[in-house]
Amino acid sequence: MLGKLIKYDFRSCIRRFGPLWLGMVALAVINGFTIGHVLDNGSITGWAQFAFGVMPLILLIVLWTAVAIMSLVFVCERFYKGLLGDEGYLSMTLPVTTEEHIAAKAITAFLLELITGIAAVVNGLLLIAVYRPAILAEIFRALPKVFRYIDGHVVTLLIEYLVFVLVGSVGQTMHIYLAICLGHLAKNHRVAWSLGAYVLISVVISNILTLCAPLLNRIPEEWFFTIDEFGTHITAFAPIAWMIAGAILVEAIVAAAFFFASNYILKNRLNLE
Amino acid sequence: MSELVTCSGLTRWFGQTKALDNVDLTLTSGKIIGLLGPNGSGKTTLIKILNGLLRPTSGTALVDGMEPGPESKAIISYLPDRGYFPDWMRVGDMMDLFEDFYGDFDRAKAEDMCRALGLKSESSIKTLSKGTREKMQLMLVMSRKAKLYLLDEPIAGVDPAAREFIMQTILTNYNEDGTVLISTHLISDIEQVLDEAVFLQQGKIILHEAVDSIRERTGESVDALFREMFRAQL
Amino acid sequence: MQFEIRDSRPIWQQLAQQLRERIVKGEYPPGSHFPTVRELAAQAGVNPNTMQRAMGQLEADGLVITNRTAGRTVTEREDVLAEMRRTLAIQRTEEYLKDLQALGLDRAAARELLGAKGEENHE
Repeated sequence: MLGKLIKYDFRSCIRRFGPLWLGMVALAVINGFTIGHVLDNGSITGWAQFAFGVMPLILLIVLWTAVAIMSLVFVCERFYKGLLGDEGYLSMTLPVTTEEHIAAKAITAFLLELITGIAAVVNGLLLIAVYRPAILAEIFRALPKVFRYIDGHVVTLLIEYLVFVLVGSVGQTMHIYLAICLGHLAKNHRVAWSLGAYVLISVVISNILTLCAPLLNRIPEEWFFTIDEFGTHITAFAPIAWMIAGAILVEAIVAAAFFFASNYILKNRLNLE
Repeated sequence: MSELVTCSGLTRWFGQTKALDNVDLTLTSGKIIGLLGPNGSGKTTLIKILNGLLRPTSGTALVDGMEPGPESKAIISYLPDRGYFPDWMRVGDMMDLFEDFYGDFDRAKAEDMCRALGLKSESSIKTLSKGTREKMQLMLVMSRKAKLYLLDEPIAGVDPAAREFIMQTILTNYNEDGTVLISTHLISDIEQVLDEAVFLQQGKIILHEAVDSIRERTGESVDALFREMFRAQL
Repeated sequence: MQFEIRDSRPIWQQLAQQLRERIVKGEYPPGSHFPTVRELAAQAGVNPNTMQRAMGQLEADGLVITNRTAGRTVTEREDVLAEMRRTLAIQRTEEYLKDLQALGLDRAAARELLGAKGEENHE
């Protein structure tokens, strides 16, 4: 059932963002062309320069910004409207658990962020490819040289960091969901209460983390020995690796706590109207 | 005939208001039952508890022996008193959704009914008129061979022609082995369709009897009896 | 086909009455296939259980015969139809007389009216 929920959430995502992603691709290509042939071309000035050189660039930036904002709005809206608005009369009577509902929405939000991120990178590359294919070629030529510097430690750190970002993103989504669920408990002005809840949660979490900081001082020194038999360029590998791992753990615990709290509210305190 | 719905001591508070007061109710299968009462008598609250949208404050409600949850939701076909279509969906999407989540959904039947209304799968639901949307919602709900149909005020705020269409759709499509619970305050329009009537007043059940028995016993229609019993409130 | 459901009497009885009349009038011809409970219930906009009860009455009357394979058919027996015609006529007459009585007219006055009206119709 979880897969089916994701199918529909994702479908709504594609409907809204599909055209935008295509627009991004189109504008990237156009801009690649216009930057090279209009802006770089000294002989085109005045109105023509603005219309065909500057405008496409502005449009591209506006589109990127719009997509970023809309993604955030989409995540909030799909949860709020989809589970707690009139649509809730449909979704909350489907033969599906509340855990599955939250998970499906969170996974879709995650995929959306992932795709947006990839789209941004692809856009950038596309623009460069059209503008000056030579730059792209150089980048690809340089890559093998970079790989020579990367060894086990660097890879581990990169992977750890990536995991941290991904878990962090899920955590952020859960933070939003919990705030919306808390707002739902109020009788009126639920949106206002949700915003307040969002801030409150941020404050509470950061306070808890600050309180836990002294604990870090009690981590034994032995954990921080450095491994330098590999002669790597990164000397303080171990402490950084442990710190990132710790951060991932904390983030995961917080995200899980938010998940269970949201689930409790949806399961036991639902009151649609 | 088995017990499909059993409520005991079912109570629900909303702040200081008692919406359901110690409700004891048993509904058997194979019946069309009217949940009758004025606005605010607790009809919607009872229905929401049965389909899992609300939790009781105390007491129990069981559907087919189960507490409301995913398993009971699979056998309940619910028509709320409002539109519940996601605004991004097309007609075809709703069909897909019902087919994906409900094993008892008869897609062919639903598509026939929608085609008769002139609906196409690619039509965006947002563009349909309110009346058409309501009809479509009804059709989807009635295309399921459910054990329990919960219809919350299906004919309120609807013109007489549409009312007939709605009653016809319900009668021709419901699963005769199942039970239909129709809540309304417009009794004269649905009385002839009911097997049993349940009167709900301020969260309490004040009557639960077969319609034929009411007519034989009182010499009046259910509508007339209702007006009498609820005179002050109407 | 529309059915008229008035107030007080049980709905199944009212349906049975109207179906009896239709059969006697020949709207469901003798020997013809009689609609199913579900079809009639949908037409009438009533609960199938209610229509089932009404059907039961028709079967008890002998107006309708249930064949396990062919469904229900209207009887072809003239005597049964004639008997029902008479029964319905008597019911109507009794109602008529009761109505006139409520207006303050006795049987003699009723007979006079019938006579006068009867001649009018022949002209």
